[in-house]
Amino acid sequence: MRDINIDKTELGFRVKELIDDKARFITATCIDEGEFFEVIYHFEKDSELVNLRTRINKEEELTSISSIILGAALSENEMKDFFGIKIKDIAIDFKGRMLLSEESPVTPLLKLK
Amino acid sequence: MPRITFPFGPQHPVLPEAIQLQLTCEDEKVVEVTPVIGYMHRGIEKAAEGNPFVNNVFLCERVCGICSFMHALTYCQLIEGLMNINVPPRAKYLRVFWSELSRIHSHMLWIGLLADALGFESLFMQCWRAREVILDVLEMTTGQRVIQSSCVIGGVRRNIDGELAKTVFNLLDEFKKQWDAISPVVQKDYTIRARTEGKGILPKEQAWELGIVGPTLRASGWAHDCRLLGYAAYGELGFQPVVEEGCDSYARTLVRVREVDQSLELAYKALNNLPEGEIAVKVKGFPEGEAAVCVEQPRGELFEYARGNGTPHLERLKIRTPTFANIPALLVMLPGSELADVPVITLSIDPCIACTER
Amino acid sequence: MPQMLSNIIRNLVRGPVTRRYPKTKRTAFPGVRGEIVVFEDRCCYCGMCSRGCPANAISMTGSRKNGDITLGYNPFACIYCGKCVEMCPCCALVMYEDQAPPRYKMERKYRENTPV
Repeated sequence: MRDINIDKTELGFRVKELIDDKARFITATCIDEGEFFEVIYHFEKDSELVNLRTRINKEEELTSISSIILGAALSENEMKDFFGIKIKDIAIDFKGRMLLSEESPVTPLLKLK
Repeated sequence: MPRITFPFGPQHPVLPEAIQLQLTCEDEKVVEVTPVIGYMHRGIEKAAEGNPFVNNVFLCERVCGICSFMHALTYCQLIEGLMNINVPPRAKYLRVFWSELSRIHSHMLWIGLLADALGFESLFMQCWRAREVILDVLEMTTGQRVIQSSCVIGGVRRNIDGELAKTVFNLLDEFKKQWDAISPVVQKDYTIRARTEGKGILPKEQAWELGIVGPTLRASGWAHDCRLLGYAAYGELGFQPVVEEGCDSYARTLVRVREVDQSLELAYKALNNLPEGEIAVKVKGFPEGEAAVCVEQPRGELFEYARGNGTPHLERLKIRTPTFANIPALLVMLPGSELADVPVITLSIDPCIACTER
Repeated sequence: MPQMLSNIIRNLVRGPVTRRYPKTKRTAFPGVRGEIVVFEDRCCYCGMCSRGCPANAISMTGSRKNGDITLGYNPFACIYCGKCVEMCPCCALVMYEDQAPPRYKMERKYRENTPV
């Protein structure tokens, strides 16, 4: 497991770099850390796990990487569903209603204060 | 040409579970696909945060009914990684044995469903009849047919010894006999070839870029299999992934057919080389830190990530199931295909929707 | 189809492989996890089972001090993992090999911690 801590502005660039290096996108995980969201993009490169970690404020907006990897669209929609994290320009945007229905509670995985 | 959009699913004869594909068609040709999921979300990730970590094994097992053993195995490996537990070798071999049986029964189920989707009812019956033998072996050795609950953190719960092993070998031989009668039909039958060859092409480069996993990726010519990482006893048993270059539905069928043979071989090997010793170790303490694990499920790579904070409860458990990664493949396979081929192509990625939505 | 033909003919001659269910029943394999029955007279009320249960199907109500302690087991919440049976020090919980008969009525709401 290799970790790379990055800033949210260089996310697109780093992902592009990894993809050009023949890495395979696995998934994206979001973790609620009180003030922040920690977003981890997991990649596989030469049978090794590479994690791109970025921390953003809860109000901040993240740019989607689905324009680079179409497969990331579902993972990003899932984060949006469960955490209410703001991600813009997702290739297929379900507006926070991909896994959750209209009547279900919003952002169920956020930690209670 | 006017375009018509209409829903495929959530209820459809070929789909065992609920998923909707919104197909935009021009005449009989599909031009655009939008998958709509969310019919069976159960909130397992949230429930896992509220449970003590030991009990989550049984919860994770219920993510999927077909590959329940693999889900339990992944979660156990994850926690064992977090807590630095060394699993006894006998438990590792038993884990391989049960995972391979799960793979066989999942692939048999899929081949049956494919035959059913084509209207080949007698093959469907034969496949499920052969699968019943494997389910009997699972019930005999673990205690239950579908949700085995035999994998726990630190090892396994049941042992396979002397008498039982003999019965298991007899049943596996019986399965092999039945399977040898079916497998040439699946590989050579004219109807199956006509309906699958050249349908649902997933080009090699695109498959890798989309992050496709499992038999779908291997049918596009990539020798990618998580068992090569050597978890459990796979490193010692040694094996080569099954690869096909066809990129179409027929190649995906062939990969699964050949994987049944391979899994059977691995199951025999694991049971023959079963080392002596303990089957479980005691677990003390609480998980702390981060870990991620990849396990090869019948449908592909299952990825789990967990973060522990030194309490009995995990801070976060993320489960990425193989179908979740394989759904984008439909966006490439379906456009350009005939409307009548949509059910078979959709089935060729082996969708497991209950897994996907957790 | 030609490859399937021999198989089909063999099946025609052999007769059915399925059981005629109510007449012939399938015997359970030894060691299968089936119905759980609570023998409360053997119970020592240690609470191991209710603490270990992953599905919260077993509950202890009352207290040992007052002498009104009871063990409640809810078969509808139970996932039949057999953990409680393994843990029980006085064999008050017994697991049979036959499956519990199908039931259609739930006496209490799911996960309401009251004995059924």
